This record gives sequence, C-alpha cells and structure tokens, in this order.
Amino acid sequence: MTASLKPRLDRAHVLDLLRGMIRIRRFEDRCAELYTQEKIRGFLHLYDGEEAIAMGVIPVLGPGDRVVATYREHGHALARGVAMGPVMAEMYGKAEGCSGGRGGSMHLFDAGTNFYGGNAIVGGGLPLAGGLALADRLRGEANVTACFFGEGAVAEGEFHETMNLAALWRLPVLFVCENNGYAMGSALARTEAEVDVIDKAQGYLVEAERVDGMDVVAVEAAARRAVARIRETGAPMLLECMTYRFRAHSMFDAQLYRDKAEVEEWRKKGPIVRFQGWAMAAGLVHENDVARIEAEIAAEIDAAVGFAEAGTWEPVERLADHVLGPQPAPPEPAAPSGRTVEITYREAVKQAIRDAMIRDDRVFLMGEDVGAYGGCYAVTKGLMVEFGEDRIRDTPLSESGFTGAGIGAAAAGLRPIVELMTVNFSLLALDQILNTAATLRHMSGGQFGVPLVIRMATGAGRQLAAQHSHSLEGWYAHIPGLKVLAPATVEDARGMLWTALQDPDPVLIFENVMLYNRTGMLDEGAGPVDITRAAVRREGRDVTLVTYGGSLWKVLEAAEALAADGIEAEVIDLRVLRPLDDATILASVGKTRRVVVVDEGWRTGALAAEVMARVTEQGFWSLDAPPARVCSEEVPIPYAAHLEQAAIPQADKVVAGVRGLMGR
Amino acid sequence: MPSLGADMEAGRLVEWLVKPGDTVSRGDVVAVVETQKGAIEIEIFEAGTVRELTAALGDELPVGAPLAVVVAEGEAAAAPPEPAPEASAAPRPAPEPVVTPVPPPAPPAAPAPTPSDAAPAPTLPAAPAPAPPDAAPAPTPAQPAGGLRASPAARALAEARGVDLSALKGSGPGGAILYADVEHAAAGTPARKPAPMAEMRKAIAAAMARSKRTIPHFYMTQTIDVELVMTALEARNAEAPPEGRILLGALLVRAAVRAARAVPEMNGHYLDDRGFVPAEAVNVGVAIALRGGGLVAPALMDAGAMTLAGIMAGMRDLVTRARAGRLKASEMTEGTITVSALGETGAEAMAGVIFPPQVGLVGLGAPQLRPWVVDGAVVPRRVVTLTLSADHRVSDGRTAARFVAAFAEQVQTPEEP
Repeated sequence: MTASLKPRLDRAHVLDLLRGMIRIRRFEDRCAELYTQEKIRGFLHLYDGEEAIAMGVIPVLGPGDRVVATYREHGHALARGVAMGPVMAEMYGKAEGCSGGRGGSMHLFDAGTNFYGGNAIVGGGLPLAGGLALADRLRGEANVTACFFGEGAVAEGEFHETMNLAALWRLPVLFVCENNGYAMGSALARTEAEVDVIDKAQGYLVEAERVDGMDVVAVEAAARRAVARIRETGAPMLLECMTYRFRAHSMFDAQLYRDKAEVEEWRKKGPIVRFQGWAMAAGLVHENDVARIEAEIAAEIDAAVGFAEAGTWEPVERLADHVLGPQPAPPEPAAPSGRTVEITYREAVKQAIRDAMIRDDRVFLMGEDVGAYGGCYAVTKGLMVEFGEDRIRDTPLSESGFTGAGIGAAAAGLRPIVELMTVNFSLLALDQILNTAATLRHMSGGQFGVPLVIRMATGAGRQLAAQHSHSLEGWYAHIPGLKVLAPATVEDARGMLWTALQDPDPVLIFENVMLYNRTGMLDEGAGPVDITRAAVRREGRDVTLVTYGGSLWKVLEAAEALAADGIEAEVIDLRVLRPLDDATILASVGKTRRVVVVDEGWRTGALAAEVMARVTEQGFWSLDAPPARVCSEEVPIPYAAHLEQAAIPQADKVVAGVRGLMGR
Repeated sequence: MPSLGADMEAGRLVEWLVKPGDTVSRGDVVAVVETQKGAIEIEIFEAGTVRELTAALGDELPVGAPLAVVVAEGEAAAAPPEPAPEASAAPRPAPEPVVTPVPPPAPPAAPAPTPSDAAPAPTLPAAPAPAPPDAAPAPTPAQPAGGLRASPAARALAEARGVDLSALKGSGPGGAILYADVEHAAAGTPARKPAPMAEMRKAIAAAMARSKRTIPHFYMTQTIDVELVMTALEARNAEAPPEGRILLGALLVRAAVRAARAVPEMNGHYLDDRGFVPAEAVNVGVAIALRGGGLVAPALMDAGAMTLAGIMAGMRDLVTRARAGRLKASEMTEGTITVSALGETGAEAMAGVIFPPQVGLVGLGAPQLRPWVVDGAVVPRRVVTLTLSADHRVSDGRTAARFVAAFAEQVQTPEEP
C-alpha cells in the first residue's frame, strides 16, 4: 500500500517503469515470433502500445488487492508479478503454465498474486470484479479490485449493470478502461452514440477521470489518486486511459480498418519511446542502462522459452480434472427426532436459508425483491429484518450483474446464495453462469473455485404465460462444471441448500412454482441431505417412472391410478439433474424392464432424452419395451389455463404412456 | 450353416468356440448350433486362420448361410467375396432395433465363384455377407427369426437359458415376446436344453415319414442263441470294474459292424441322383433314447477299426454327449448303417424304420429265455431276435440274408472282448 499520491520519479523508479514496459514489449515480440512457428496457437492478442497502463496501474496495488483482466492480459500478468516462465508455458499449453495449460493466452490466472484472469467475454469480467469487491466490502477488508477492460466493453450490458451495482453498493473497484479506439476493428464512433466513456460512468455516479494512457507517469499518478480514494471512501472509480494498439487485434487481422499512417503517427507517441526519451533527456537513464535492461530481459525471455519448451503435456488421463473441485463427503442423515410437523415447501426453503445464515456468516442472499418485498414467491419474507440489508440484499433488475457479483464473491471466499426470480430470467445471466461460474475452475487450472448457490423458480401452472413458466433446468444440466438440483419434497427443500453451500462448485437449485404451497410432513430434526443420489419414492415391479421436481407428485398420482389396474409402478425422483445418478435408475429398470421418463422440459432435447439414452446405452439388454417419455408439448407455455395444463405433463398422460408401453 | 440332417432347414448359432485370428485344423470343433434335434457341435473341414465371424450368436440361419470366413495359409490377403458389414463381425449379437423388423438373413448364395484348385477355398461357405441393416428390404412377415418381435430383455434371457424365441408366443404389445414369456418358457429347464420335445417329435415325424414314403422297406428276421456269449460276458464283467464292463449291446453293435463289412451293399447311402454309394468305413449309428422322450442316432465313426472295448467306450461317450446335447455334426450325418437295440429288457423283436439316406437298420429285441434245441435236446437258452430293415432299391432278400447270417455268426463267436 502506498501513501504517496504522486509518483516519485527517482532513478530507481524510472528504471523500474522503463524495464517493466520493455519487458512486456519484448515478451510479446517473442510471443508473436513463436506464434508464427506454431509454438503458440489459438488467439494471440498483443498489448503492444498499451504497456503504460498495466505498468502505471498494477504496481500501485498492494498484495491483497485483486486484478481482473481481459483476453489481452499478458502485460497485466507480468506487471502483477506472475512469473514469466509459467506465463510462457501457458502460452505453449504446457502443464507448467500458470493455468496448467487449460487456459492459454486468453486465460492467464494466478491465485498467488490474486490475478483473476484472463476473461475473454467482453464485459464479462466486470461483474466478477464487482463480486470480488463485494466480498471485501462485506468482510470489511480495505482491498481494491482493479478491473481492466477495453472501450468495446462499454457497449455491453454487463458494463452498465456493474457500474450501477458498484456505485449503489459502494464496491471498491478501480475500473480501468483501456481505450485504444477500436473494438476489434470497429472504431468507437462506429458503434457508440456517446463515445465519452467517463460520461457513461459518471451517469452512474461513478467518479471517473480520463488519462493519457501513453504516459506511464500520468497513468501512475491517476492510479495512485484513484486507489487512495477508493480505500478512503470505499466507492468505485473509473480511469479511462487513452491509448493505441500498434499491432493488429490478433494475429489473424489484416487491419483493413485503419491506415498505416495512423499507426505510424501513434508509434511516435508510444509509451516506451516517449518515457525513455524523457528519462534520458532528464539524465535519469543512460544508454548503457537501456542496453543492460534489454540484455537482462532477453535472458529472462530465453529462460522463459526454455522453461516452456522443457514443460510437459498434461496426460490425457487427467482431462476431466479441474471441472469440479474436491468432492465433499455427503452429509450424515440426521437422526429422526420422532416428531414431525406439517410444513409448506416455501417454509422449508425459508428455514433452510435462515439456518444457513445463522450457521455461517459467509452466507448471504441476493436477488430481485428478496428483501423489502419478501421474495416474489414470499420465500424470504421477514429475513431482511432478521439479518439486515447487507445479507438479505435487494438487487437491481440486472441478472447478469448480480449473478456475476455472486460468482466474484464466491471466488473470494464467501458463500453467496443468488436468487433469480424465474428460470426465464436466468437467461439474462447465462453468460455469467456458463462462461464464468462453470468454467473459472477449469480455465484457471483448478486455482479458483466458485462455491456459489443459485436458486430459481421454474415450471408452469400459475398462468404466467410464455416468459415466466418454462422449465429450462435440462439446459443447465448440459453444462460441465455445474451441479443441478431439483428438490421436490419438503425434506429436500429443507436439506439440499446447506449441502449445496458446502460444495466447492456452483450449484443451481430449481424450485418448481407449483410446489411452494404444497405441504408435507417434515421431521423436526431434519437436516442436510445428500446431493448425489436419486431417490425411489415408490416401489414397484412393472414399470419405472423417472421424474423430478414438480412432476413428481403427478407421477405418484399416476402410479396410484395404475396400481388400481394392477400395474405396480416404481417412481424415481432424480433430485439431482447433474450429475445424473445412473446407478439408481438402472437398478430400477433392471427390475421392471420398462421406463417412462416424465419431464416438464420440452420434448426435443429435454433431460428426459438423456435419461432414455443412458437407459438404452447401459440397460438395453434388460428392456422389455422401448424407453418412453412424457414431456411438455412443443409450444411456449400459453396463458389460458386449459391450454397451459394441456401443454405440460399430467397424471393421465403418464397413465396413458405406461399403458401404451405395456399394451394394456 | 452346415446341413446336419436331411430335414434341417436352419440352425441357430449358440456358441462360437473360435475367435478371429485362431488357427483351425480340419476336424476342429468351431461352433455350436442349435437345431430341432438339440445343440450340435460343428466341425470345420479346412485348415487355416479364422479371419472373421460373420454370424452373430443367436442368429437363426438357413442352411448354407456363411458363419465365418477362414483363410488358408498363404491366402491371408484374399478378401471375402463381399465385404461383411462391421456389425456382423462383432462377437456379441448386434443390438437389433426392436420395432424395425430386421431383414431376413440372406438366402444361401447362388454358388460362390469357385476358386481355382491352386487357391485354397475359404472354408465354411463363404457366401455373401448378410445385408447391411440400412439396406434393409421390405420386411418379410413369414421369416421366423429376423422379424421376431422380442424385447432385448427377452432376447438376453433366451440366450442365457437356451430358449428358442421362435417357438414362443409373445404377450407384449403387437405380440412382442417379453422377459416374462421367456421366463415362463424356461421355468424349470436346465441351461441350453435341447429344443422343446414337441420340436424333436416333429423332426422325427418328418424323417420317419419321409423314410417310409420313399424307401421300400422289407424285413428279414432271425432269432439267435446268445447264451454262450452272454455267459462269457457275465464272467468277464464279474471281475471288471463298473466302467470296464461290456454290455450285450456293444457285442451286438460289433456284430452289425462286422456284418456290414462283410456285406457292403448294406453299408452306405442311397442318394437320389447317384443311387447307392457304398461307404468305405462303417460308421455305425446307435439309436439313443433321450431322457424325456425323443431319439437320436449318432454314429460311431469308423467302428470297423475298433475293439469291442473301444466300441463300448464309444457308445458310452455317445450316450453321454447325446444327453448333454453335444453331438458333432459328422456324427449326425455320416452314419452308414444303424443299430437299434431294445437293451436288456423289452419286447422280443423290433422292425425299425431306416434313417435316410442309409439303406439298412438292424433292429434287436431284448434277450429272452426260450426253450431251445441244442445238440438234439431242448434246453433253456437266452436268445435275441434280429430284424433287418432293408431298402429294396438297393438290396434284395439274398443280400439281406447274407447280412443276417453274417450277423448271427459274429454274435455267436465269442472271442477276445
């Protein structure tokens, strides 16, 4: 942490700044060469011309501060102190790389220096940075998160959502916009009506300053002021650093969008030539200093290339590593107290949240209308009064922003519960859920986990029509890196949340809207339940009905109707949609030799299809009939009640499906 | 799929005893085929290397359908006449779609191009490969196996229990055979049991009807004094361990073998196109009643070269294997004359029906104690009545009489056992 607000331009510091910029430049020159030799592949985005920003900002930060960067982040990683050898090895894809070879040029990560990547979705790093800062704020730690992004990101909703959240919640983030004038090849004026980035920030009441990004001293001075102010006030700041990229956007860019003359004009103003010229004129740096720096850097780069060349390829047997973290043992089932109470599903969820808040002060809940309103489905009613506005946190209607904030807070060590009002709204946060939450551990070679729980309502039946009623949990079950739960009973509503919060990875919990009012008997001592196994809810010998969530009760009703006709159905509640518990399903099908999967997802590509495929793959020789399914009809859910009911699985459809399968 | 009997139209492959890459020699048992008469081991008649198994376990294949491709030494590079689809080379049955009927197996080929004498032929008929599934012709409703609608569970259980699915009536939708149907059919039956008795009875009926329809039988009978040989046998057996004892049946079979050698007109096959073809060796068929009914008559191959003890051992082996359903194909097809004996107890005479394409059957009643004239005095003697059934297309009374005389002489000539 630095107390001085002005850069102290003594010889040692000047040499450090000059060395830092030349080091980045020469490293990337070698990267470009190695790219042409096919040592480095994929995309390679060079920072050439923009070095003054990383070297002006990052050395100002303290070791406890955090850095979130973009896909053009080699300079940031080196400036932050990630060793050059592992950075180069990562470019090679070697196991010794700073992300274990899983990330590459665009995804450099380093937990040791709080370097949170390497984020290649433009704008996607901003909510993450907001969340890291939220964790520091909630823990009362005076850290600053520096978040770098290009000016192209200001067109993304995530920029605006995060500006608002950061200002609203006073998140200690230093936003650093590296404005090089082109989003890939589109000049800012081609894509934005308002080209003034600081005006945009100020519109959200984020204090902002424009800086000459080609002047390392000016950048450092601005960064010192900004960091000191953020530590003092806790409020975010934005620096817009005007800069220029001398090289193409990536290696495969013909640069049709700008003149060579324009590039040459900027090169004369380049950060290294300018600073070096000034320092030599001022007598702070001599020719032989530059020669020595160049020689030292050349040796360091040679050593880094040697390290990368000598590195090893991760064995393919370890391909599936870093998708999920170390799996915790399932909780011991609570001993039944013998006393049961009748409870609604809603109340069971609420008890679970309350219990988690009491047991672990790292837990907090955020979402739209969870606080003052008490929750769209009244799940969190009264909790804000009990736990305060920090821990029962109302959010703006910015799903991507606050979901990303949850991801950042989780990565920083908290245990957030993010509530999304319905699964349809979750699509606004899909980028954060898939591109960040599900991939961060993998991209970082296992260095950063996201122990986040996201709850959301799903399903039809309340006449909420086509934008509030769908069942998209099957889509999420497609994604490696996530766990997906569907509690159908009050025991699971009560018990899954705590177990999910102990999980090292993102867990999505889908609560079917038709269940909230449903009552069930719950043991007074009910506690955490496992989130690994499916459950047999009814035993039978003639046919296996596999289902989950809101459909469970319809299926049990169907099973009763079938029993009256002498068909004994076994009902399996999947409970966990990812990973699927194949063993329980196949054990049942092995016994009954028939299976009907009931799934409120649309028929085409629903989770039901996956269950059927697994039954066929693993249980073909035990089948007496082709696997069958009862799914939602292929229509957006209609408003009219009779049409809505006709669109989704019902007990009579299940009965008919079973009869068809058995020829009865 | 080799023909294992005149009435065999198809067989179901139930076991492979070789795998691709194995070296096989002529006479090796390579597979087991289930027929109406039970499970039969199939021999190979060429030497070489198994290149590919083209038939899958459980397949019901018509006679002449290819089971495998075997290449002789030096022929390794030769391709099969048509590329076989990948799936049929799998040792496990290729999963068949339950709903889509499977095309029937390709019919036996029009004669495959005959390789030159210099190039050893692929063995086991290298006929065209089964049609690939996606080139399926319109389903043939009459086809028993291919169009069979049976669930995977039913198929798996049927294979494990040796149940013939084509004999079952399905209780599932569209008549599909379900697990429970097979379970019901297999209840209480041992694994890989012979085909249901009704099936065997049908096969016997077909063979015997054909025999009586096409072979003009005539019969010649003589009762033979076996007192001396039986006494000698009893004395010998009294000192022998149980497994070393020799039964009268063996003696009678040996007598038939020797008579057949003496009268070659009774030993061979009658073929429609060639008439009578005498056999070099005497492969004497031995009628064996199976537990639970039914009858098979596998041959003791080249019994003319055997000692009495060898014949006895051979008969024991045949009985054991017949009852286990593990007879060799050659034993079922290469008999040249058959002996059917009623054993130690039973009726006094038996006039049997000839097994086509053989031309003679030696029917023997059980030994009877009868008043008998010996050296001018009536004394009690044990006698056996021989009835020779002969094919009048091949032999006449004179030939038959020679056979009967030769048989009687052999029976009454006690010699080294």
